[in-house]
Amino acid sequence: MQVDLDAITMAQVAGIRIRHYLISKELKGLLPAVLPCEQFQRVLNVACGNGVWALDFARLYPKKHVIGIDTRERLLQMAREDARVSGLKNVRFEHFRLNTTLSYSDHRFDLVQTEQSTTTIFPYMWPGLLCEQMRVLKPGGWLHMIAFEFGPTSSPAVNRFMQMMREAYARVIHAEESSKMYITAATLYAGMLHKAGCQHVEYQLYPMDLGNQHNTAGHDHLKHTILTHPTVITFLAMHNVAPEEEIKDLRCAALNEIERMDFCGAGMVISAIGQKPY
Amino acid sequence: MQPGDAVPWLSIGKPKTSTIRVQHDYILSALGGLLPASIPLTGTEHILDFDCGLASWAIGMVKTYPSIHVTATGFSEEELYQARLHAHWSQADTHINFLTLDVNQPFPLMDNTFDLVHTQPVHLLYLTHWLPIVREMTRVLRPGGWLNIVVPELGVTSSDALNHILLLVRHAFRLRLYRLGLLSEEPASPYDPGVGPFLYQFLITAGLTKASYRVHALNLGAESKQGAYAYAETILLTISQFKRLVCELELVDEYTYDVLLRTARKDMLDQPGSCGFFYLFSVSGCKAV
Repeated sequence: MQVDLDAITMAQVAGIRIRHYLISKELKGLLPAVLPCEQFQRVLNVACGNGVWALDFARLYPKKHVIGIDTRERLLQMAREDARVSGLKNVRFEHFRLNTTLSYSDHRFDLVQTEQSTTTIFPYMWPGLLCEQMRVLKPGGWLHMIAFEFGPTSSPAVNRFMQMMREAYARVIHAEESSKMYITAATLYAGMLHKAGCQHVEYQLYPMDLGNQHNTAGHDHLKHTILTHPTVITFLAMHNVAPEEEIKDLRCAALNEIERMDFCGAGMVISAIGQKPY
Repeated sequence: MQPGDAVPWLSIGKPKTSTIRVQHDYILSALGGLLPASIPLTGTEHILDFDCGLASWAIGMVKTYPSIHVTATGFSEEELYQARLHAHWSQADTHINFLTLDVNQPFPLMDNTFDLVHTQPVHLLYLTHWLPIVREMTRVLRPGGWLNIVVPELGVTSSDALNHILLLVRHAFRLRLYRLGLLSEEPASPYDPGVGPFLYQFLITAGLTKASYRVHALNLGAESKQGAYAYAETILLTISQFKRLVCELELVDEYTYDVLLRTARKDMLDQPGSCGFFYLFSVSGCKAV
């Protein structure tokens, strides 16, 4: 199936923006309140996408410095353009490759921030990536990892569609024997931070409504990121979770069902922090 | 047991009173109070507490609002015995009367009787049985009265063993109902959610107005917050009581179940950084005046 690259990039950008809005609304800011933000002068934003978080941080704290890194050059180009148009001099964006060392010196950053990137960073990559993040973090610096996990809904089609996503994802990360209950590694973050040598590890849960009744950020995230993303059908068909026509019909049914006025659903933002010992 | 004798709920053995108490207290802390702030209590005198467990919620209401009277229900006298004792020890028994209900039958209660109907059930009830129950709850509510329902729903944890076993338990429960002739179709997938996300729809279908829901998190990480360790222990204990059912239905063998349970216990109670959650749906609505 030929997919328009522009459509993919725009869909990724829309999804990142919606998720960023959803998460920052729940956190009531860019970071959990428990983190000593005033102490952070140099920040590394891993898997920055099109830079929404890094750009917001740079705007909010003009005297602090942010570097955003990602594997997707197209999104980084957009981030650089946004920084240029906004006149932001305290943020820059750099490409990086997974499974390689980060090109920064030891003890450089006060904070390393990672928002989920299920399409680029898989669970088995995390130990190596965290080891590098700890290396570039100053003693006493903080790691913050955050992700959003979709949960149960009143739409049978959405539930089936989400389960297909989990099954396909399990195949991508070679975890076919797993319970297939999740897409992000978010519930593993706290354990990973412990294993990476962090102290003061804790996590917070922020339950999200995916319905239409109040805050519609969760609903928008469900609709735009999962149900309308142009590559989702290809992704599912490629991993043989179901024939393409069945997936298309299911997605169509899901899009109808989530617009019902009695649609109800839940998701969870999971935010984990840990401090590098002195 | 013949299909005709069966009930749509599944009680596995006798849950320990300590288990019920820990779970009730933990859920209450997640909810932030006995009731959502949106439910007005002015003029509330008569409350129905459906499937009351140990009557902890009813006792909490009576202690907080001394003018209130609660009718607390259970499915057997044996079950209500502990609830009666609890109410007596708590010096709340003069404001609570207890009633046994057959959940397969209309409630033996008059229409338009209660100012508030509440349930945070301690038994498992299957999805298709909830709408008739919601209709009965609505019937016994007075016009302008409120219905409030709280149910947990599976989330995800850092222990894949626990994730597996929770799915097995859920599937076993549904399969058992199907084999008893209480479900018309064999359960398709253990991943299909429980009643939580459907309650909002049921309240609207039953004709309630101002229907709304909130989603809360029940944190399962043992070190995450006060009470979490004890709550996680009760979940593991409850799961252990499902072993016989799961194995009788040949979903896994006993050895596999034991290994999963041991691993789940180690993952959630012994490993630093254990993380997990259930969703908690709190749904309410008002009977039209």
